[in-house]
Amino acid sequence: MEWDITFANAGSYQLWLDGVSILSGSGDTTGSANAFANVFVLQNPTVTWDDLYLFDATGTTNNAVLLTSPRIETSFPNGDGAVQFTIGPAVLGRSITLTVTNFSTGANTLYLRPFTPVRNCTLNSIGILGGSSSNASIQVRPIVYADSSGVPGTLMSAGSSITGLTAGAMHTLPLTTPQNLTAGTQYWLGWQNDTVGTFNFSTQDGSLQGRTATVTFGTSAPGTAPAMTAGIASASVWGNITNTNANFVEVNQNPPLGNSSYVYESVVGEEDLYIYPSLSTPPSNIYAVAVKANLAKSDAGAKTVSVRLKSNTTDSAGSAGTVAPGTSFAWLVSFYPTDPNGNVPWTLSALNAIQAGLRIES
Amino acid sequence: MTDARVAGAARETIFATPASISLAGVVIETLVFDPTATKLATVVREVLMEAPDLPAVGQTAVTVNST
Repeated sequence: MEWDITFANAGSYQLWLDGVSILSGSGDTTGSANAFANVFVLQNPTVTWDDLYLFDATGTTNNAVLLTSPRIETSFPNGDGAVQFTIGPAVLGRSITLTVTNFSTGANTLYLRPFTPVRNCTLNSIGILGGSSSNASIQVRPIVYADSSGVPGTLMSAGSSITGLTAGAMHTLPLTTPQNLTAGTQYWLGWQNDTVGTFNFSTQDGSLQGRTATVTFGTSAPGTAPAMTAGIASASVWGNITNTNANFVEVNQNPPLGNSSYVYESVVGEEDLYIYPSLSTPPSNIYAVAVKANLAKSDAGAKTVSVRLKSNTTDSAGSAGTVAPGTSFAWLVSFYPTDPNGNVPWTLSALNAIQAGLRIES
Repeated sequence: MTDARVAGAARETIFATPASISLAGVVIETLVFDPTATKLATVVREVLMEAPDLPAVGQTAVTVNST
């Protein structure tokens, strides 16, 4: 659906469906004395509305309806370009939940989920997100098992148990011996708990990747995982890792993980640029490119940044320019309606070759 | 010293795809000679094709591969 509306007491309007004009006319298209729109509403409770583009009649590009049933494709970094930022905390898996479902366990439960790192890394601790209910007395022990033909096999490491889970809180359970993990190899991360844990854990998403078995909590984890029941809810459990030696893996999760996974820098002029996968289909026309960075500054001190897109040797801040971020993670967006390398229309080869990221400005 | 922290990065591209023809179905209908009748009425072959390039009404073309 595309609308071309001139906001005026006597303004024209025209609507298209899939590029075909279905309604047009003129009339009072304002709701007040102001000849502009300040809100855009799509009202249909049963329809999911997705991407939106907005144009005005100014400028030399994108100044009219497109009428080509355009697509918007979002790409996340899949490699490092020219990187200068320092690697911060990193996560194997996901440290935030995509659902609001809680997870309960019985007494003496051993819970595991499979994870496959994309980079060689060191696993230092297991993270668990508390559910809707706190439990001050439950004991929880972190465990990691090697894979054996698709099921949990030999115990690689465990750690001291913690006592108590707080509702909605992230808990870090250190392993006694950090484990070096190999990219592309599957491992099983999880925990043991001693008593019933009603709503003490949260569910990460709608998948059913968890496995459970009843194992006496005792003083240590079993050296070999027992036969386990598959198809259990995916609890919010993850690995806290180091030594990935790659910046892009810190910033390519959607949604981003905030304080659990980021790169950081304070030196003015330093820049972190990533490479992105090629567009999935050859376009006939590229109307605009947006670069988005999810960022925060570490404290109340002064710090400004700019989103960067580097095309060939031209490094541009785009429409956003220099921005002072806040201390809470938020998206910063900059638009590039043309290739900054010569301010010419985008080509597929130029788009696929760009690097984009962030620069410290002051 | 205050530092800036980046937790996420993404590239979004809005673009049009070239016009293409989607073949949604092929039908051959043949009215055959009926031996009990005396005349062959006609023989028809119909090829049914979707109009090029336009998604069906009700589909939203901009939702593909986007978040």
